Order: sequence, then C-alpha cells, then structure tokens
Amino acid sequence: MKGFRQTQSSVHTWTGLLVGWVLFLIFINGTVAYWREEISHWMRPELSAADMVHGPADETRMVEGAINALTSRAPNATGWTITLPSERGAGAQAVWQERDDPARRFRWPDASNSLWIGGDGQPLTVRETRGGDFFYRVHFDLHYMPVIWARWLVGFCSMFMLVAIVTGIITHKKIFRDFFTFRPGKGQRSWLDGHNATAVLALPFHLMITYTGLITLMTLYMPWGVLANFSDPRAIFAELQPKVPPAPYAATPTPQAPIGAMLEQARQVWQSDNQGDSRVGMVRISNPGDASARVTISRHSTSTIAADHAAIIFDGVSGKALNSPTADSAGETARQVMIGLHAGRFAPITLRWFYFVSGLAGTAMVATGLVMWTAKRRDKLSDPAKPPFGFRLVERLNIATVAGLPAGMVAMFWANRLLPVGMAERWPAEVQTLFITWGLCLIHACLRPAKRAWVEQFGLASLLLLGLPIFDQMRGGGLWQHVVDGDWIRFWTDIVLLALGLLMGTIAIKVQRHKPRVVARKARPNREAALAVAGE
Amino acid sequence: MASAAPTRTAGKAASRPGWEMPLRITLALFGTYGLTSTSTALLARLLPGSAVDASIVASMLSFAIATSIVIWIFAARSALAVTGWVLGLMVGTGGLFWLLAPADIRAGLLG
Repeated sequence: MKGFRQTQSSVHTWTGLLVGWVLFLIFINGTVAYWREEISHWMRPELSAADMVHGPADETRMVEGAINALTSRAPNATGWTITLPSERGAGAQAVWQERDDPARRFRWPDASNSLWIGGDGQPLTVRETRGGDFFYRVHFDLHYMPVIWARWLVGFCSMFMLVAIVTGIITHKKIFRDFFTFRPGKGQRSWLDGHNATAVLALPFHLMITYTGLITLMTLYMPWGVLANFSDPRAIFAELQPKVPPAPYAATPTPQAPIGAMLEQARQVWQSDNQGDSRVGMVRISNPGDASARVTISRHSTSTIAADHAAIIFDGVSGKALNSPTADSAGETARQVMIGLHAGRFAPITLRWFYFVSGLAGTAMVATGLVMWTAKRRDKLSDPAKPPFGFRLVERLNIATVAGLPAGMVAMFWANRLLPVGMAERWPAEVQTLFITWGLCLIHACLRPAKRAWVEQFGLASLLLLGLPIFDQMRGGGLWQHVVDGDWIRFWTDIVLLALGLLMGTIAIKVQRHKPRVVARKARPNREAALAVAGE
Repeated sequence: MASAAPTRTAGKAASRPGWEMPLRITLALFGTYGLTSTSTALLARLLPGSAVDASIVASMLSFAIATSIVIWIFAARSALAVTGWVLGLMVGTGGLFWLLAPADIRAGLLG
C-alpha cells in the first residue's frame, strides 16, 4: 500500500495548496456565519431586547405593524416580505419590491426598499447594514463577481476539499496516534502536528460539512441526475412545492382578510403536525391590497433539522388556505436534512458552539496546511535569502489570507460602528471597508519581511478585535450596559470578540518570539519530516 | 516506467514520462466530471422508487462518485490505462443511459 499512499500524498499537497486560499475564505466566513443572527443583532444597536419575539402575540403584533407601515410606505408594491427574528435576534424586517421599478433587479434590503418594525409594532430607524447575512452570503456567493461564477468556483474548491480530506485520510496511516502527538517548537513538524490535530479533531465535521455543502447546490453542479428523469428541471421542484392556482395582478383594490387569523391557522396546522415548535419565520404577500393578493406564511427554519421551508399559502382576500398537500419524498427529506445539517439553523446554543469550534478547527486546518507548504520547502531552499518567485508568492498570499482576511473582517465591524447612521449607500461602504483593509494587507504583506508582516497583521486583527467592546463601552453601549439590559446575545458577542482578540494577540506574540531552528537545515530532520508527511 | 524497481519509488516524478502527470490532471478535471455526469444520469434512471427520489439520491451520491474517480486516477499504475477506463466507462454508462431514457428526456438533453 506504500505506493498508493504516496500517490495520494502529492494529490493532497497540490489540491490543498491550489484552492487553499479560497477555502480559507469559505471556511472562516462559514464559521462566523454560525453567529449570523447574533452578529446582525450586534450590528443593529438600535434594536433592543424589547424587540424580541417571545410568543405568538409578539409575532402577530409585529406582522400587523409591518403591514400597516407597508400599506402607507409601499402600497403599490408587487410584493412584501416580512421576516421575523428567531430567538437569537430582534426586530422584524419588512422589504418591498416596487411595481414600477423598471430594472426589476434583485437588491439587498437597504434604506430605500425596507424598514424595521420594533416589538411594539411601530417602525424604527435602524442603521443600514448587511449584518451577519454578509458573512453567510460571501461564504458561497463571494463578492464583486456574478453569483453563478462564484458558486461554481466555490463548488470547484469544495470538490478539491473533499478530495483533499479523503486523500488526507489515506495519506495518514497513524491517524489515531498522531492525534495525541504534538511536538511544539520543532519547526515544520509542529505545523504537521497542528494540521493533523485540527483536521482529525473535527474530521467527521469536515467530511459532513464539505459533503453537505456540495449538496446545497447540487442541482447547479450536477444537474444530470434531475435531467435524467425530467425534461424540464422546473417540474421536479413544482412537484415538491405546494401548488396553488396562479393569480395574475388584477389592478382592483380590494379589502384584505385580517392577517392574525391566518397566522393562527398556520400555527395550528404546524402544531397538529407535531413538527416541533411553530414559530412563524416569514410572511410574504404578493400583489398586496389587490383582488389577486396571496399570503405565504413560512415556519421558522429553527423548528426542524430538515430545511423544509414548510409554508401555507392563503388567499389574501378570503383568508382561506389554498395549499394542496405536497408530495412526500424520502429523497427530498434526506436532501433537506443534509442542508439543515450544513446550515445548522436548528442548532440550539450548545450544538451551535460545537459547530463554531469545529468550523474554527477547519479554518485552522486550512491555515496550517497552507503554512506547512512553505515551512516544508524553506528548509530545502538553496539560497534562503533569495527564495524563488513561487515560494515568495505562496508566502505572501498566505500572510494576506490567513492574517489579513480576519483583520479585514473585523474592520467591517468597525465600519458598522463608525459610519454615520443615516449615510446613503451605508452597507456597501461597510463591505468595502472589509475589502479595502484586506487589499492593504496584501500590499503590506508584499512590502514587509515575511515574519514582520505576520506579526503586524495578526497584531492589527488583535487590536481591532479587542478595541470593539472597549469602544462600545466608552460610547455607553458596552458590556456593562448589556448586563443591565439583560441583553445576553450582545454580551456574549462582546466576550467572543475579546477572546478572539486575545487569541490573535497570542499568535502575534508567538510568531514574534519564534526563532527558526538552525538544526532544521540539516538533512536528516527533513527526511524524517518528509516521511512523516507520507505517513511512514 | 521501471516496472521491476525494487524500492517501489513509483511515486517519484523522475521515473515517469513528462506527459503522465498532465494527462492525469486533465483526466481528473474533465474526465471526472464527464464520468460522474453519465453515471449519475444512469443511476437516476436505475434507482428504485419515484423519479423525484431517484434523481435526488443519484445527485447526492455524485460527489462520492467523483471523489472515488479522482483517487483512482492518481492511484492507477498506468495513466494511459486509467484514461482508457474512464473514457470507456463514460461511453458505456452514457450509452446505457441513452438507451434507457425515453424520447422526451433525450430531446430535453439535446436542448
């Protein structure tokens, strides 16, 4: 089996390096996105604990308030979408699409097409931000490029990741023993141990998350399974979704049925189905105020593991439910469970922490793997003072990605606090702050000596993280205020920011104090290390 | 390739002709997608249950199929032989699918 393992070792090294930087971005943003709603709550300080949903009465009040506000703000919209918070967030967001919008283009909610409703059902002024949703979307849509290209690129990298994981397992003979092996201060071997530990520690998670991630977009990547049985791919989705008769816009203003009764009916259906709790997640009204109005009420995705989007569609005028029962498909349920496992929307707080820590381990696995590529080759350089271009390129990209990207992400948190609240184009400015900071880190990494660049960028990320809770405290909305208000979501967000800041600071100090081992330039340790990589 | 090399250094690039690795990489990129597509389509026709179930389960399995193919391509002793196998299986599974598929499905795939 020696030959087999060796062939897989080089597959592992090169697939890992080629897509490592994109995978790092995917992994770190996906990990952060497990706190999507907490981050959104943190980034909207105008919302408070009073705007949270504690029961059906709160839901009804906020939806009714949203419909009132939308009726006066956007009476001619083609559609209204009202999103209610889970138990991890606050405030309802109401978004509309103008009927006379010539472009009809999709737009993220901003100040011109959305408003916020507080717990009392009244509109609130809330700063324009993508919040945690940005990290969720950038995880598979990237940014500054058409979504479809981004998803293909992410899928391509994920497939490499799957191959890298499986070949990594094959490469790794002593997988169990090495899990308990850590040889710190031994140069490249320490990187190898760290890479193994973070990889093996959460190995079931890595396999699960990569495979289920591919499944979330499988009809894009591998449409042939559907096309083998359906000449029109839309037919399979139509079969799985509730069917209602079409309702073309009638242009006849008609009094609408009260929403409260529909919400109540939806809750009863979900409860009688014995499908866990019956929290309402979203209310969508098409052609509101018209004779053709339709109301779609969706259950909150925190209710079940399967991402099933259970929804009931009502006639907006009569208030009657229109759904036909949907096809019961074991395959579809399996797919929904896979997607549910990936996104973890169902996860209660303890499990959510496991998701987050496993995601951090995955991020560290990618990072240590990338660094190992240079660590392994540095010993073999004929002239360490003038490494070849390829080596320098990998080294600089590693710095800008592993240390620079986190710094950029924290810079977005700062932009959320520092940009004026009423500013036009506010959320794009927040996002640009991330990419500008990241770009500056890349330039910085190219200009500075490698070690200095590592220390300075980790140090920057650390200071930015540690500064956030302190800045909030000085502005009067920090840790202490969260305790007084009983706002534990923001309290723990601040604590995690501080903890991550200390982690980044520790890494910066470790790199600063690190002295490359002179012994490592001898031939023998190299050979040992090379064999260790091959799993010998 | 030294077939009787006593120390089994088959993994070393030096003992292989220069076109071997590029061939394997090209095959891993395009051959994998091709063979995965044809076998997923064939599976979707052969799996029991409703058409919806068969399509979804076949699609979910496709990523495991693709991973296995990549591993096989790099593990195989002869790059030429594995190329032949992958292309042959692609024609075989694709052809069998084509024979099993009804006319409207074929028409849909032809656009």
